[in-house]
Amino acid sequence: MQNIIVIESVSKNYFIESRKFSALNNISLNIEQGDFLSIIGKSGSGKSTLLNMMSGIDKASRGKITVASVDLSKIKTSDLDRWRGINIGLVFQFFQLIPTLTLLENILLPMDFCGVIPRENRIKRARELLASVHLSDRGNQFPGILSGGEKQRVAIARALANDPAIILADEPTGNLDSATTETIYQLFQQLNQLGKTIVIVSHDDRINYYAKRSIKMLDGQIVNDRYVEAIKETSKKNDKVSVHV
Amino acid sequence: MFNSPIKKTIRDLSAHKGRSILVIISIALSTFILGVILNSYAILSREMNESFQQANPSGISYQIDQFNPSLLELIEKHPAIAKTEARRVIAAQIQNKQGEWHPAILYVLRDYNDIKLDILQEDEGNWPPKVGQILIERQALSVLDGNIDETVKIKSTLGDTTSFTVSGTTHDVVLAQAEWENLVYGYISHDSLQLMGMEKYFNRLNITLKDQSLSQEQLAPIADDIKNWLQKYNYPVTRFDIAKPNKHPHANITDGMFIIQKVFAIMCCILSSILVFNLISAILSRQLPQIGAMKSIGAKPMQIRMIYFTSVFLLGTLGITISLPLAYFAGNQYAVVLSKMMNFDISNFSIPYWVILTQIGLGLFIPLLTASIPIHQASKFTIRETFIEYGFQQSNTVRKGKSKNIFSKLLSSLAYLPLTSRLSVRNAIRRKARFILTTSILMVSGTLLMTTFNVSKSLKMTVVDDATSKNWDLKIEYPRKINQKTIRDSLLSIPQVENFESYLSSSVEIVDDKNNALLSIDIISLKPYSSMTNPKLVSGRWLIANQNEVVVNQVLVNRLPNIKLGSIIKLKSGKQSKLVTIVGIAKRLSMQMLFSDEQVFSELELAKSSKRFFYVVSKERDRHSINLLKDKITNNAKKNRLTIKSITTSWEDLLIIEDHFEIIFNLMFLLTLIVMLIAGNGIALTMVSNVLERTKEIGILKAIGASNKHIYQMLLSEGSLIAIVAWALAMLLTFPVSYIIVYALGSLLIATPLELTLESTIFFYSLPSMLVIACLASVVPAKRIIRLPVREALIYE
Repeated sequence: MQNIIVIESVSKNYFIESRKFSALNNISLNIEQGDFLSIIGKSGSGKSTLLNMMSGIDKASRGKITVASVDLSKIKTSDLDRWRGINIGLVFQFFQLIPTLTLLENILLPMDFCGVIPRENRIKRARELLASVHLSDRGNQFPGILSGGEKQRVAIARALANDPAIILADEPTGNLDSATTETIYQLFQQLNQLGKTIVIVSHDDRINYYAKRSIKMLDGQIVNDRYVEAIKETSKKNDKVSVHV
Repeated sequence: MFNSPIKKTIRDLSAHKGRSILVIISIALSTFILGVILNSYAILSREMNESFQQANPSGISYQIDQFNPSLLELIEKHPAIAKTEARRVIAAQIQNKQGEWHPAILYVLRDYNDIKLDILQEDEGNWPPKVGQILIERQALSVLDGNIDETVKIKSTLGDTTSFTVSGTTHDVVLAQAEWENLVYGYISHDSLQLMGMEKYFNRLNITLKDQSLSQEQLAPIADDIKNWLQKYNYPVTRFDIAKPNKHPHANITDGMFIIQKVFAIMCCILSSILVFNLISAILSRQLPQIGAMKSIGAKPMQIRMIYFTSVFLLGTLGITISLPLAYFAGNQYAVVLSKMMNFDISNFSIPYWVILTQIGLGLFIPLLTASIPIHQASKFTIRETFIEYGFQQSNTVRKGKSKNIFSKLLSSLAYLPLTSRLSVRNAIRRKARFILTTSILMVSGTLLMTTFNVSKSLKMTVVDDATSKNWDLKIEYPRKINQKTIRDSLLSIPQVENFESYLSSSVEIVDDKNNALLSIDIISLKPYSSMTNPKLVSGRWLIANQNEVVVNQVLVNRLPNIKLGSIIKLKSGKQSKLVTIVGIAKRLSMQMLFSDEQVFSELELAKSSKRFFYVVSKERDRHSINLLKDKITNNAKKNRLTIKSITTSWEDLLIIEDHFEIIFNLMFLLTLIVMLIAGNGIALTMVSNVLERTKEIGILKAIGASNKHIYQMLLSEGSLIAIVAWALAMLLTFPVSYIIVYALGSLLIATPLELTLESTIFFYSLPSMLVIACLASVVPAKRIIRLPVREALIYE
């Protein structure tokens, strides 16, 4: 399978009160099209930073990142947001829905910004996406009255608005209870089965039930990179329910 | 119908209803003021000009001792002259039904049905006036306090009193407004002169030239040429006056009023734009995560900016929608009020396009311009920066890596204050840009308040100064033929008279090297050591006897800019001319004039054409006693068959100027109040934003023991801090602002730059007013938030 995301020798440094802090340290990673990757690690390990690199939210201090055959360092800043809106669907821990727009309008918003979906098809598509996350009867409601799980489902539907090939999710279940977490992970799994490349950052091991591949990060470096089937096989043998890398 | 970004714009505004309404009110108020002023200015300046032009105002007016209508046929042959009009102008006094005497000017016209220049309009009653009838200028009727069909008495310069019937009123647009001049203008027929025991002749020749494009300076040599031409035909001209072309006599006052109003109006627009800045900054500050979310789903910076520009556009549009029609109606009414004051009629209330476009432009453009700063700033934030849980300012701080600035250092220096006070100070300045803007708004309104009172005090002191320079209480004009000894004996016989002094007044021309007249000017002959007049000198010194020198007033210097202290000028009267040196420039509120000693006067042979005045000083110097003395002198003169041409008190001249200044003060005060209202709005907006952003923090404070009273005290302290800082800055700013306005007003209104006198009490009264505004604006809008239960405050997003 072709690599859809290629990260080559990427480092990221921050300066806080004149002191240098390395969030990523010479990371290299290839992600194939159709992959379902989980990035696991403790707080401060650099996993969110790595995700931000992939989405273009943040720029690398060194190295090269290629996403969908596009070198992110070569895109003009003025074009990057639209490029991201078309090629990547982002899902956040705190949902980041627009509170003054209805659920349907939140899903329409990326289509209105990027203009890739023809105008006459947008509402129909938005309704279909809302139906796919089982909220079709609540399109005219505002996010404020939804539960956390419902909000995240809407956020996922929004991420799919422009039909991007890649979905990046940063701690999508961080604010959710266990049952809802499972529902969300199942949703991501279904999307992956439909051909989407999924990358999820989490500190919850349960993601590995659903992901195909998992990398572990520590202090800005990848310390482990394994395919999850191998982990599950090992877990089964040890009769362990939880999976870890 | 609308796409999602536009829906977000609209719903964001309605989610912040209170603040949006405050901003809409501010924009509406400021554009309303602007609209009223521009609308009324457009109507008035057009109608005043048209009215004035329709009256065919004369350009040059010659005072000739006497002439008959045959002169008109002669002078119309002059190649430069277009039209002519002959009149008789008589200074008189008029008594109404109640027995009150008022100064009057009588105009005698040749033919009321064929007026060529300075055309009168029929108003009410009969036209034209027959023998024994008088028309009163319509505005002058209120000065007279009379009515049509009433009998009035007119006392002429001969001293005879004649009864006339007020047969009607007329509208004379070209004259200065009667109420402002405190004069009664009356119009009688030529034949009525015989009734008054006066000969039938004219003494004013008014003309217009064929070339209407000449300036006042260009008209001077032509006017002089015509004067010489008249003198060649044995019509000696004692004086000529050149009117400012196409300008009503009081145009400078109305121009001055409108300039002040326009400045205030534009200031209101700027202030309301600052409110827009505050509101948008507050909204953006809370919406940073949303901006990040929108950028993450593909929104370009321009698309983000358009969302918020659309907000501002909508606010501005709503504000203008409210203000435009209201301004139209109010502007019309204001124009009507002013037109009555200025004595002309409005026939057309249409507003030129530029007025409406200006209102729309300023109502939209200025807010959009000011909002562009925070909008542009917010749109440049990266997604990562927007997701950091800071407000605007702190994100900027993190981005720039700066954590110490003047405000942080200020806070550190306040370590000695109690913690709650430090918290208040910190809260007030946590959003530095917002603190600076809010303080600026209040500072501007405080400055305007102090300036208004400083300007009023300066204007009043100008009048007082002028009055002080006149060490006399009554000025009496007697006919030249009366023996001076007779007058002196008459005055000496009145015990209330403390002192008196006589002087002569005449008219001379100032001519250039080629003997061309530049202008005619009043000349007053005084004893150099006169105790009666002591004009304040702007520069130079007072007269020394027998030195061929004069003192001029500042109005003359402004009129002839080449003239200054030390200049040698040539005075001419008839065949006599004389070079004199200007040794002093006096500040005297009147038309251009110069003072000389008796030697200059006699060498110019002015005595025969001069008027004789007596200055009289009363033993008791209060106004009531002076008025009593005035009556005594008048009755004494009557008893002794002594004619008095006119008798005025020292303050009557100044009443007119005081009235003008009162109008200016009232206008400025009203506009200042409106600015303070907008400032109050601004602070309310800021405090609401401040409190909203700290809802969680307020919840925490209440959770750890703070009561609502503590929170109110904190807010009051924040408001007070803003007020005190604004007041201190306003105190500094008011000096240069007051100076500029006072200087400009003086130059505009009375052609004399005024001196600034500070109203010291306003510095103390302004602080409580600013404190009240700031505290009310701090506390009232925040009540709802403060009363939120702790649980709700803690989970507030």
